[in-house]
Amino acid sequence: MQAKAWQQLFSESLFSGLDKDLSTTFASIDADERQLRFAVYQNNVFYSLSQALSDLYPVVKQLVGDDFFNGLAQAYIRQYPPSRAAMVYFGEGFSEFLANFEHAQSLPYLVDIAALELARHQSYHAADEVVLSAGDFATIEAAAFEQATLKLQASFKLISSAFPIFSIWDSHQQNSAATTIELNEPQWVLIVRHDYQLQTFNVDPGTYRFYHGLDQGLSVADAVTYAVEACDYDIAAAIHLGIGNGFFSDAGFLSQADAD
Amino acid sequence: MTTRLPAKTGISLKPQHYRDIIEQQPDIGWLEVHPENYMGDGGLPHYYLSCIHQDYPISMHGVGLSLASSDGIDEHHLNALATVVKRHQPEQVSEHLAWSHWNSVFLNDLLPLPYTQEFLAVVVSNIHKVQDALQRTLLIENPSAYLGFKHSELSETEFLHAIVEQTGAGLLLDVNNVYVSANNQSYSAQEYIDNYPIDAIGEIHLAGHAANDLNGKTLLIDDHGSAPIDPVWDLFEYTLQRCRTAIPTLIEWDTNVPALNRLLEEATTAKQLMDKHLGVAA
Repeated sequence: MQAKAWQQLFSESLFSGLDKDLSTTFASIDADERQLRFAVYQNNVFYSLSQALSDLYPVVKQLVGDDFFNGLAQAYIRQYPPSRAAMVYFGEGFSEFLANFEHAQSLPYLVDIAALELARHQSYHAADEVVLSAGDFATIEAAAFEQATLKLQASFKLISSAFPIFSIWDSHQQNSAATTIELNEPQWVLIVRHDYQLQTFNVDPGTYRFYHGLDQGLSVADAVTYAVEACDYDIAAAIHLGIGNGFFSDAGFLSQADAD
Repeated sequence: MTTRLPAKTGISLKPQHYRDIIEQQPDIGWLEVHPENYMGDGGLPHYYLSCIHQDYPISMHGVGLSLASSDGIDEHHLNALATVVKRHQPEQVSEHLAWSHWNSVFLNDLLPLPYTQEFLAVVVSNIHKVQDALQRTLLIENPSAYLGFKHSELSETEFLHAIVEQTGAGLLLDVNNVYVSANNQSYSAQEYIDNYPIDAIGEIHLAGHAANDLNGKTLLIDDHGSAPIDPVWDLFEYTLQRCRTAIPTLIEWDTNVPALNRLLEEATTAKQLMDKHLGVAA
C-alpha cells in the first residue's frame, strides 16, 4: 500500500475503528491480537488528549464528575481534534462545544465556567510585557490622565456571566472560603498575570464596564462615562485596582511625554 | 556524533521541579524539555526555562514534528519550533522516528511506520527540511513499537543507518524503546544494539514502561511512568560496552512524576554504570 493511502487509513482507524485493509498490513497473524495492538495507539491518542483537556478545565471536570467529563472529552476530540502539536492551544473551542452539547444543558453555567478557565489558561501563557507601576502614574496631571488611552497588557482578560462564575470557580480552589452561592446572581471577572502570578478579580459591573471601555480603546474619561451610563461605581477604586495590579502596559500620556 | 550536551547524565525537566532545581542546584549534567510545552507566547514556563538554562545545558526533545508524515512537515509547527529554538538556544534538538500529523489533524501520539523505501524517502526529505529551517543537525530517536508491518522492506536499524547516511542527522538511542519493541515484536534487543549505527549516537534515553496482557503474552507499553527496570539497565550496560565512550544519557520520567530526588537517584545509577564501563572521572 502506498504511504499516503496507508497513513490515511491508519489515521481514520484511530477514530472509527480498525479498517480491514489496514489490519492486513500488520505483521501479527492473529486478528484479535492485531486489534489489541492497534488499540494501544487509539488509547494513547484519546487518553493524552483527554488529559490535556482535563488539565485545562479542572473545575468543569469537578462539576460534572470524571465519567461525564470523559464522555465530553471523547465527543470533543472527535468533533474538534487538535490541529497543532502545541497542546497549549488545544481545547479553545470547549466552551462553545458545551453550549451545543445536549446532555450538558442541565448545568447552564458550565459554558461560562469553561470560558473562565480558558481565559485563565490564555492569560497564564500570554506574551510577557513590561507593565506600568504606580510610580509611572505619580506625576501625571489629572487632565492628561483623563485624556490618556491606557493599553491593557496581553494577559488581561474580561469575562462576564449571568451566573456566579467567580464564586463557583473559587469554591473549587484550595483555600476557598466556602459560602452559599446564589445561582441566579450575575458576576463580572477580570483576569491578569502580574509578576508571574495569575490574578482573578470578582468586580462590580461598573468596574467591569470601565475596563471593557478601555479594552475597546476608549480614553479614561470616555470609559468612565461609558461605565457610569450603566451603573454607579467607585471610579477611583476601579482605577487603583488596575494600577496596583499591573493591568496597563502603556499609556498615551507617557509616550507623549517621552516624545517631548 | 558531536553534540553540545556534556557527556553526563541528565533528567527530564518537569514543571513540578522548576523551583526545586533553582533552589537546590542539583549536580546534574543537563536537562531535557519538550519544545511543544514552550510554544505559548510567554509566562512562567519561559521564565523558568530561561532561569534554569543559565545553569544547565538544555536538550529539546520534540514530539510534534511528525517526521514520517508523507504529506510533509507542518509549516506552522516548524515555524513554532524554530521560534522556540531561537528563543532558548538549546544545546541539542531531537525528534522521534514517527508520525503524528495527518490531514491537518494532530494525533498527539508517536505513530509507527512501515520501513519501506517510500517512507525512507519521506523521512529523509522531512529531516532535510527541518535541518535547513533550524540550521542544526537533529538527533533521531528509535520508537517504541506495538505493531510491525508486513510490507516493511528494511529492519529498523537498516532504516536508521540510511537516515544517518542520507541526512547527516545523528541518533538518539532510547534503550527502553529497544527493549519494549524487541519484546513486542519478538526479536533480540542485543542483536538490535549490535546492528545499530553506534557511531551516530549523540544521546541515550532510559525510562520505565508498563506491561499489558496480550492474550497470554505480554505487550510492553512505553509510558515513562516508572524507573527503568533491571533488563533495561543491562541493555544500557551492553550498549556502553559497544560505545566505548561517554554519551549524554537521560532519565525520562513524564507520567506519575516523583520527587526530584528520585529522578536524581536514577541519574546517579546511570552515571555509576558509565563510570564502571568507561572509567570516566566526572
